[in-house]
Amino acid sequence: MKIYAFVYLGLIVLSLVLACWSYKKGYRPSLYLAILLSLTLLTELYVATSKARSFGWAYHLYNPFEYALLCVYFLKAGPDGRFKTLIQYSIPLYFVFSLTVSFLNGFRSIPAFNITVENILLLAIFSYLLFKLDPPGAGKVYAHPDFWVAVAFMIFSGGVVMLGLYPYLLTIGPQAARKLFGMVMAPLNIWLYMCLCIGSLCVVKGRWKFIS
Amino acid sequence: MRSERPLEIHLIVILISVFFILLIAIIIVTALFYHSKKRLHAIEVANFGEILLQSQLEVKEQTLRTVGTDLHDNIGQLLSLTALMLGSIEAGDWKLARDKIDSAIDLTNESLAELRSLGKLIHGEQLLAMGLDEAVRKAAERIIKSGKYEVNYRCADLPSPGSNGKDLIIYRVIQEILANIIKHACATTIDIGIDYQDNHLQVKISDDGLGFDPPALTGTQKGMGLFNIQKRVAALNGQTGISAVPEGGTAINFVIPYP
Repeated sequence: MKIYAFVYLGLIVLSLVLACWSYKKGYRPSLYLAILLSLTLLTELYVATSKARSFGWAYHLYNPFEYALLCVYFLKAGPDGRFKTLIQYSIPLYFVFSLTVSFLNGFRSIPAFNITVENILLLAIFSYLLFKLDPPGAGKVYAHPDFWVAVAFMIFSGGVVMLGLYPYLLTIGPQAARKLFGMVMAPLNIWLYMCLCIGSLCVVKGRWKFIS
Repeated sequence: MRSERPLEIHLIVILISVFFILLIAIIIVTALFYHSKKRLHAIEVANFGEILLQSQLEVKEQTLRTVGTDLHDNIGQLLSLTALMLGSIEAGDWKLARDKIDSAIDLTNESLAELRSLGKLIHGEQLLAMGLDEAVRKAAERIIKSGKYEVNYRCADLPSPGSNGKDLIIYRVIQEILANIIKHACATTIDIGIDYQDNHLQVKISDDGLGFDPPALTGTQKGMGLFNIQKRVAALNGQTGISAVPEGGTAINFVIPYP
């Protein structure tokens, strides 16, 4: 494995440990982040160690669960309102949609249309969460764990949405496109897990008090 | 087979990347700006609540002080006089006794009227329920009643009060300025003017007393009173102007968005 893969997997493990710790400290939504990170770790470990040439199916299976768990995270962390009901309904709908797209287009293609749609939805959900954060006692917003979770997924999802162009890029230059795909995904992944670590640290460091 | 076009790919990726980075940066910066404004507003609301509470306590304290002084200086004197009058009645002279009893009844009625007026003062919130104009008028009347000052009071037509909290803070500021004049200014005339124009309330209180040198008061105990006045007016998004000359009187005015 390359150094990048070690760093990447290390960051996932670190963010998983911190998410569990933050849950233990009383921040309930961290439980769903911890479950998601466990799934991510399993998927990435399979991809990193698999000798099979095609591992796209792992991401296709992982994708609807990722969306569902992030939605549950939002439902636990976000404010009450009509948007929340909408998100609740979107979970089974996206599940069906994602698996249908995977069946129709094949489980091997990465990036895929369902993954692009998921990231557009996540971009909207976390933008909404970012505006609806309510730090108690006029506290600073960037000391709120959800600020970092929202920023992490917004930037990551934005990057992945951009990769929706990948199939088109493959038609005009497969080698350059593959190289660029790797170049874009690597910093996005690092950014995502670093932000998740910072978010959990906001809880762990005790700067943010939650009623358990 | 199609030939590779890496330049085109790079260009597309760079353009799209810039677009997304800008889009997300704008969203995040807007959210940060929004939260920063929300935080400032929350701090302002908390400050306002604190100042309101402090003003309520001070208005009550000032009222009790006035009640104490009035009971001692005014009602106490009237009741002493009544007791003296009744004690001096002699059984022999019926006509004189009748006159003294009448005088004692008058004094008792006067004491009752004073007590009723004090009762109204104790209910400071009721005083403000009648409106800021009426509350300040009553305060001016009490100063006139002391016989030491000539008070000219003028008030424009005011809209119905927005929040009682705002009126209470304004009333407390006026009360503090008047208390300062009585305590330090050695004045004989006090002018109180309340104007209302373009959704702004302008209050001007001036006296012909000793005046003072404003820079010399900075940081001193006496300067704290002025600082409190400025702080309260600022909490209502208003501005205070102080014009004072040693031996030349003092004029304090403040403008507040109203109601």
